[in-house]
Amino acid sequence: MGCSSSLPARNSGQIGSLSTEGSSVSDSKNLRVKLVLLGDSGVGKSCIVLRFVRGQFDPTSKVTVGASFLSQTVALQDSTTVKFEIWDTAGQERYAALAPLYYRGAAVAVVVYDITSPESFSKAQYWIKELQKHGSPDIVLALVGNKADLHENRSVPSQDAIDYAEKNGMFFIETSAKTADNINQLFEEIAKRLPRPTFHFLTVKPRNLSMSYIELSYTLLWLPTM
Amino acid sequence: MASDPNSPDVSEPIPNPSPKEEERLASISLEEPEGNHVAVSRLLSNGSSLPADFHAEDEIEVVEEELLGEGSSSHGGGGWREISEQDGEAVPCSPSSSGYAGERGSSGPSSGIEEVDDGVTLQDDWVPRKRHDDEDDASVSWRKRKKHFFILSHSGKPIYSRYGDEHKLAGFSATLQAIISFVENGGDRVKFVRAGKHQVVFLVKGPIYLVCISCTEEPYEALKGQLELIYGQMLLILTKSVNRCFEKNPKFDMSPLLGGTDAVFSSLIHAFSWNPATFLHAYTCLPLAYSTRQAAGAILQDVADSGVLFAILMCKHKVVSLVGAQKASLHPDDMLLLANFILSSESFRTSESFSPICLPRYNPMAFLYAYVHYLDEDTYLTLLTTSSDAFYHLKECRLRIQGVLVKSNVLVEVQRSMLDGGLHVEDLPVDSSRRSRSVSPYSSQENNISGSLRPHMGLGGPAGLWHFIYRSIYLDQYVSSEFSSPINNSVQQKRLYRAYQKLFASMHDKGTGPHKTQYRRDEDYVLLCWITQDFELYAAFDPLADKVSAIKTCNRVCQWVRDLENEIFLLGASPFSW
Amino acid sequence: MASRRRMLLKVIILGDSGVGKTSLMNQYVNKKFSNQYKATIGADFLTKEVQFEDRLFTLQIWDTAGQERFQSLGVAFYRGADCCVLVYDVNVMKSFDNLNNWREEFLIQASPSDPENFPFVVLGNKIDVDGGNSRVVSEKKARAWCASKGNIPYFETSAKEGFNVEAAFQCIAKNALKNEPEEEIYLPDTVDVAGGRQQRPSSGCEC
Repeated sequence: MGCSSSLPARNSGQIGSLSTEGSSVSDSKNLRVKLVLLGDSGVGKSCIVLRFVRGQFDPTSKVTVGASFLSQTVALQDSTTVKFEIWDTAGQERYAALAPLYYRGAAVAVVVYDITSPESFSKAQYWIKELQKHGSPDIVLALVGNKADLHENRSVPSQDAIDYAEKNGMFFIETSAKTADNINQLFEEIAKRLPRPTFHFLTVKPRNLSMSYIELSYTLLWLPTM
Repeated sequence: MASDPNSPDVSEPIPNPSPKEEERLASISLEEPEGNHVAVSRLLSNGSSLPADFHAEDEIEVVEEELLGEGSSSHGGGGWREISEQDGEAVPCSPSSSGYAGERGSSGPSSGIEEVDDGVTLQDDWVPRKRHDDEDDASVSWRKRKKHFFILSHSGKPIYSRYGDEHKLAGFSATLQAIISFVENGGDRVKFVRAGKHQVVFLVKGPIYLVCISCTEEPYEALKGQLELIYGQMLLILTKSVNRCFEKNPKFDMSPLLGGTDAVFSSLIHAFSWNPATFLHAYTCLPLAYSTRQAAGAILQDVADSGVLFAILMCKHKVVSLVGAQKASLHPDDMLLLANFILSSESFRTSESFSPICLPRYNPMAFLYAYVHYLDEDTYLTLLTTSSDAFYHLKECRLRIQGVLVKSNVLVEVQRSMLDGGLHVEDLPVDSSRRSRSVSPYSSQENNISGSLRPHMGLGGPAGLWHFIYRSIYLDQYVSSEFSSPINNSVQQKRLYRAYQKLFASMHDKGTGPHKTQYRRDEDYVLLCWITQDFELYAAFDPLADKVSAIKTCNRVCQWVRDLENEIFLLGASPFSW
Repeated sequence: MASRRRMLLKVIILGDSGVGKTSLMNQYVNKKFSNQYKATIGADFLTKEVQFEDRLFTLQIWDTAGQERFQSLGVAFYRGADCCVLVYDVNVMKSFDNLNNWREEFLIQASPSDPENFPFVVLGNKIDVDGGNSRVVSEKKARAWCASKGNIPYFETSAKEGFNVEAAFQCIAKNALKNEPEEEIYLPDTVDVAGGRQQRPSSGCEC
């Protein structure tokens, strides 16, 4: 199962990567970050992105084909900006083998499941394993339980996800793209956890972010959508 | 009937396949012993008595229904009748083959359920809709549908059904497999079965079986062509690599691989009743001033030179411009399937995307990558590449193209052409002297405005000309006139579409054709078809039209089209060699 | 709701004519039994949705005709079966003796990739007849045969009384499911830059 994800990027005929310059950073004040969303089909990946990027929610489900590309820039209080270049991938099975094309070189991976679907939670775990094996070594991983508004139909206990996230050193949040609950917080939290070259006072560029680093805690100012 | 092939005025009649004896249909039947099962039964019991020619690989069999009471009194003989339209009342309790009937109440009233998309909407208003997921083969509504399409695996596992839930139709799917398998076991292949009003067409593509069950009276060749396109659409989504899955594991359950593509297939099947490209195997262009299309072509060419395999600019189903890299040629069927895929997948409209896509005629084995971006509501750019990491390059290409298109007003012209429509039969020049001046409403802006204000009423064009389709053989393009009175509602448009489809099939009939001309009259139209080395012309006239003046008018239509070819066709595109 | 992948399992029922294949299937799917005997001609197909370990799947049951004259159903008919159910009548010795032929026939025709481990289930039907007094095949004998063929699960059933039918089919579903290969990733080819020629992405782990 896992072997297929290690497709060599030998030449352009092979599955390569869609990273811009191979790095998530363009200059010290303006971060450019490649972010990929992965997860089972129908868990609401596109809805999360559209809520974040355009502030919209469309209840009619539109199946993503291949992957959609969107970007959103956020300004931080320290006058740096973070431009998220988001790859919203299709959750359909037929695209599974092509996922490396989208997640290779990503600085952030957001793995989404539906809190009403245990199957989507197992799928999320599959993606996390895959990313740990084949993603960038210092990738920031977020586990997102979406459709929190449907809590009366919940079948994945929050505690299960919390435990799983903790065990895998990733950050966990429950969101609702429908009500916009925690959507901005999700990306805020991601921005906080990004390795930042500006902070030279940190002795080394952190590979794995320590808690003390995260506690620097920034308030983000959201730019209006362009 | 609208399109009776036996109407008296057919000078080159469509070969009417003579109905064979009823006995052989009796040998393939779906029965319902105890009212509970779908069965292939007499298929096997009478197998030995099948006439030898039933198996003839290259012959289209037409067999008449004679099932009921044919020695099967104990079974109450459902036969193919169980899917025929009139059977709603005859099977009131809709016995279930799947044991679900009681739980669902999916059986609708026996009246009023017809194929929903038939003759109700124009293509423009049509929205891909969910199929009737609650139905199965026990539902009256399901049985009444006029046209079913199925995809199944060689082990009988369902892959796709136009109507109803695939899993609930597992028994039906197994029945279809058993029929194919039984004939195959005799070292033969089943291609076609007629059962009363229903035609059943089979297409075997390696481990994939495709079946159409239809009572629309479309020609066999047309239905087979539709199955071919459905198969092509499946390849566009998955490539032929699926065959490897079956080689490794005959049990392979393929349906999950097509997850979320219902709308793509529904929209393609809908196109079988309005889009002439589905049987003409040609594409059509949006009418544009020559210089406008040139401007679009130039910037696309620029991009194609930088490593893009195909650059395609389309407005809905019509091509604005199209450019291929050296030696690469794009088959019209691939364009049809690609446009259908993009137009029916809503997510392309939301944002730019980069997706694997296979062009079955270009290379059925492998994926290309498609960068797709909508430039406005209707106009979208597709850049195809072989390189999986070309996204950022293509994104830049798109920005460049978009810049040029905006600056040179191409997008505005495209929108204007959309509003104005194409050729109107009323505008057919009356005599050759008028030919010299431009009759195109697209050649100048003033003409455009006056053109769009022109009232389209009255009774069609000169000599009772109602509509025409002109297909250029060299260009692989066709142009179709706008529908005008009296072909002004969707029922009439669909009827005309079917008449053309039949005309096309009879002109290209392998047994008797190809033909050069055909003139036929029935109560709906006079239909005229003329095929030369360069073009095919299909024209519909008032049923009372005079034959001599109709023929003259056809000549004028051809001249008109030639005069306008700079605007209605894409000329000088990279050579299309297929 | 996220998509739930449903599985479809093809189950083939084989056995001599009159052992009660159709009745078993009817009892299982429709909870009905008819004393009237009707020979199946060719084959019957039934569909049943089953929930098992939190997953939904569909059994596509292929009920075959037991009469010899219908036996040449062909390779295609057996192709891709997920499980094969062998049925005999505990009151008819011949039907038990023939189990071996049915099993062989299936393995030849279906030629599964791993015949040793292909999931069979054996059902000894009609245990209700005559209060068990007309029984000629002992449970011990049947179990011994099943054990000799790679521990085929064995059930004694009565289609008439609905005895053990549900349990038998649960086992059939479970075995069919167990035999499913690891869910594989669909791995298509991509076209190389030269155009036209395709290449398969190497699946070796280079990491």
